[in-house]
Amino acid sequence: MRGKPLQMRMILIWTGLFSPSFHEFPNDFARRPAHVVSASFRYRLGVASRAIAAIAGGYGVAALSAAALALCLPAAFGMARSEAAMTGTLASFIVFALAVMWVFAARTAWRAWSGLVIAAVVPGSLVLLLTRAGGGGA
Amino acid sequence: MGALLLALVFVASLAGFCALSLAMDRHSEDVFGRGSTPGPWRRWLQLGGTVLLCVSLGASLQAAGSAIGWVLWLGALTAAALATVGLLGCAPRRFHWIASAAAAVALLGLLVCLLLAASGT
Amino acid sequence: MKEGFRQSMAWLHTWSGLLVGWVLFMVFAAGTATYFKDEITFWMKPELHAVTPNAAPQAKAAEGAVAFLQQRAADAPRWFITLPTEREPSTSVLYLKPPPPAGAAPVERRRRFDQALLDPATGQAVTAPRETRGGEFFYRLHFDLHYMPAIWARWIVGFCAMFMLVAIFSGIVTHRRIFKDFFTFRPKKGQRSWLDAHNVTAVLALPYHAMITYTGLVTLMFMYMPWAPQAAYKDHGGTEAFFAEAFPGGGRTQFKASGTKAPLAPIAPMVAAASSHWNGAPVGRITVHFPNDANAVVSIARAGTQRLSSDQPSMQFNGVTGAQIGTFGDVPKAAAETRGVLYGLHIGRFADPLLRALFFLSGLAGCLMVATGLLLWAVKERQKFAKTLKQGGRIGFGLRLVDGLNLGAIAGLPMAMAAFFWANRLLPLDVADRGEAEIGWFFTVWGAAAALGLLRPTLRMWQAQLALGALLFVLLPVLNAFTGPAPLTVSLRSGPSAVAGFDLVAIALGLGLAGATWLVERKRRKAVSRQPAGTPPGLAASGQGS
Repeated sequence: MRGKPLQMRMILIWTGLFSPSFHEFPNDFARRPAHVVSASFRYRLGVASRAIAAIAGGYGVAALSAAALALCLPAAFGMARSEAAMTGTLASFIVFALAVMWVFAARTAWRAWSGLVIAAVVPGSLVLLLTRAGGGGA
Repeated sequence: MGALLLALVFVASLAGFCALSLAMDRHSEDVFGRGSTPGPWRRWLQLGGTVLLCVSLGASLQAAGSAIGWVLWLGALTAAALATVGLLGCAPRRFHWIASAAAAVALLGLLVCLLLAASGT
Repeated sequence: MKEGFRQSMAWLHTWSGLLVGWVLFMVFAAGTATYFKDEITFWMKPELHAVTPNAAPQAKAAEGAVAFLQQRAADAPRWFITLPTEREPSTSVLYLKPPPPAGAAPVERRRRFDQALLDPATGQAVTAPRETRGGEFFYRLHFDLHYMPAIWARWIVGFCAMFMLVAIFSGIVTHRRIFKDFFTFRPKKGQRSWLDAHNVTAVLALPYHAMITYTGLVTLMFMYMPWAPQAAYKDHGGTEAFFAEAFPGGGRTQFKASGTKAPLAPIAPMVAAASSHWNGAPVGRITVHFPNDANAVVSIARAGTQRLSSDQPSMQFNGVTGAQIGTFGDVPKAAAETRGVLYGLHIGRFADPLLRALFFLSGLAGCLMVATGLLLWAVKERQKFAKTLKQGGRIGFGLRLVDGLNLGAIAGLPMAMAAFFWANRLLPLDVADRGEAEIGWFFTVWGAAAALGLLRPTLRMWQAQLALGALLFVLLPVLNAFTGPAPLTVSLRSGPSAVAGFDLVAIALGLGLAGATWLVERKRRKAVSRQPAGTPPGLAASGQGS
């Protein structure tokens, strides 16, 4: 806790007493000091928000990236369709894990969600474009 | 030849990890007493250890093929690393003798394998 | 911001590990046992220990199996014949019982099959062994769990596996001195020792842990992530078309019965043709679709011991004329082969005994990694209550719950596994649904252990459960000697090596558990001796950290 002002340390000690199971903490709490009584609740809300972002949002990003790869790889590299689908699926679990890490590494919960949205928009738009193109052309 | 290669995989990886551990201050202290450091030997131990691990990899690829050989090597590394930790804990005073013996056996084994390969067996 | 990143990854590692740790411990333990599921099944069928199946050439074994199936199940829709291997020297046949008449109650999936073990030379059924699920129980347990629909179980285990993958990545990031601490293990130093144990078992087998977790997800990846095939094949035939393209020769649904009878062509030439197409490689599994029907098809797959990939080439033959219909999988495509290799790495069937033993060792390291992680959390958490405890207070609910779950999961599971083996030998042979009864013992013992653990998560309880587990394991060879024809003294000299191996590993595991019991005793004595005079004894007894 080196380098943090005294007030910060007091708040953290209080929180340590109130919520003993959450000793180590993600960053948004460390950067947003608040009144002592609601600090614990706000903290738990932050954790819950990030958990939902990580699990549901992360899965969404992974699913979209899998679909995007499956559609892009044949278009861009002439890969066989089944191969591209296989590649996309294999990669999706790594994407999922990285998305989860991002959510908890982001400095604020806002950043966590925005990062996910950005990560979803890119493959999402690719999927929309290519499905429409494929459907329109067929 | 096959059994010899397999034995070489294990002995070489054990010797390699022992050498790499002795190249660290912390384990040098474990074996030789407080305050001891590997000193001028550090680079040699690191080099020797790495070479021995590579010998182990080579033997493994030769014994089990280019795909399964990697899997066997990684498994042998796990076993050897665990054995090294065990030896550091149970026999710190004799560690360097065991490590030297393993290295000698590994190099001897390597020589025998190379000779056998050269003579076309 | 590097410090913030490492810190947040440490938090993530703690929680992604803790919340699913108990399930993961069971998955690791059952999965590690699965490496030797054939040997476990064999040990659990003592009727087969004295019988040595006669070796026979593959064509003969196949003919014998077909003759047996023609007698027993001529009108079954599908036959599966697994030819003898080194680990399973009898021919194994499985067949689908004809479906129940329309309107009757649907039959549970497992009961739709019947199976038998045959002598490869004579084609006769081997002495009927006792009904037991054997090692297959552990195999199914680690992804299908039990007492619930398989789909739910696979989602639960997949969820936990994803948490595990995150725990591995975040653990690597957060372990600042991963190379400096590579060989570090400092015993008898309390929390530091737990951390060292966790680091050693995790880092030294890290390639294995990362591989097994990721490949575990890959084995069920089309269930967890169907989106890529769905998107790519939306206007090109749907996911069925994907599977037909990605796994040619694997389709079952494309075969349909014609209804007209026709004799099945001899199987031996087909086996010979397949083997020679693969340059003499042995045949693994033969599937006959609609035998004795005009549309019969025989699918023959290569035996899977030469390469990493679990996908084996296969050939299909017309069941009536014996003519080749097609060969599949000879030149696999890159991504499909990658998936095959990943799948193959997970099930590890390519592994010879030495490599299999190394996998087993790494699996044990994985169990220890999960266990030490869970215990480390409890130890760290307990320290926050040090002051409260000294003043006569109690630990929080969260910690008490974790203490109880740790005990039940880590000490209770080995006991349950041993109880499973004891039930196998002690339950009467004519018990209805004997296989399920043995499994019932596993869960009853585990449930009791968990309940006791949650009620009294004390050091004494740890000792009691670990000691009982140790005793049950160490006495398994004795049990085998009294209830089977191949005690250790015989099996070491000449008997089935699988039985000898099982007995020896049981002793080793028992000794390991005994060692753990002794460690707990040492801790208990230290805790008692550190107790200041006048403190109520219950406090010290409930202390599990140091």
